[in-house]
Amino acid sequence: MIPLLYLFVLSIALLAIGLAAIAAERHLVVIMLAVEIIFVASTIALISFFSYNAHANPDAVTMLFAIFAVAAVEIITLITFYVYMKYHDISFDVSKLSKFKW
Amino acid sequence: MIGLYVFYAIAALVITSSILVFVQKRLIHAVIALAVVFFGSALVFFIIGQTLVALLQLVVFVGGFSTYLIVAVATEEKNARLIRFPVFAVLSVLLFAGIVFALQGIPSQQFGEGNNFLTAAASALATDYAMLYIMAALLFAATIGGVMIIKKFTKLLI
Repeated sequence: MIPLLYLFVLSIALLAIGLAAIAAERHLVVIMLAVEIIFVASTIALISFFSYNAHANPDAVTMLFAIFAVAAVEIITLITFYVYMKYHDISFDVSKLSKFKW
Repeated sequence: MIGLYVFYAIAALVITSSILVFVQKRLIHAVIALAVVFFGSALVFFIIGQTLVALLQLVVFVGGFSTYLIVAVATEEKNARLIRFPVFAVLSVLLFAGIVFALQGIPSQQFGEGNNFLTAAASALATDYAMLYIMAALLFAATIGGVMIIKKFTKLLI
């Protein structure tokens, strides 16, 4: 059986990569994809802590579905922004998002 | 023991793909790399015995979200690279090193038999309906809002 520490280190590595992408990137879509990577990291941490605990709380199911729901909402928002900004020739540069007005 | 090597291979796949998400030149390649990350995390869940979560990850993330993202992004023609502060990426490497260094004191012991998500899902889904309805309403509201914005500002769906 895989030790819990390895799964946790994998999760932390994904978190660090997502933070690196958010810090170093200026493209809006790539930043949102990096947030998705952080969601994957949190899911891996949740599931590994759940499955390696002898007396785990079944409410972790609700937390897992909450993570899935937030990830789904984020992707819906991303696709909406993408279509809107693409067809209005708005730059995807997040430092120019002040022009993104209604 | 073989399972450990398989885990190493999958972890290498996941970490490499997640780095490729923001190193790729074209956006469509970044989205495909993100789909590989989803697939690799589903393999990780399958290895540690959580088959329900692995199936959810495959069906919902790889099958649903990645397809939507690829279809949405595939229409893009040009894509300029917009890297601002690559130095800041070093900070997250330091974060990773610090947390791993802090984990050195924790003994790498294995816990008990482990729980299966299939059995836990049966009891939790029966008692937490309210929370699930809130999440469903959140999803529905976000979808309606997205469709309204697209309909208001583009002529695509009209």
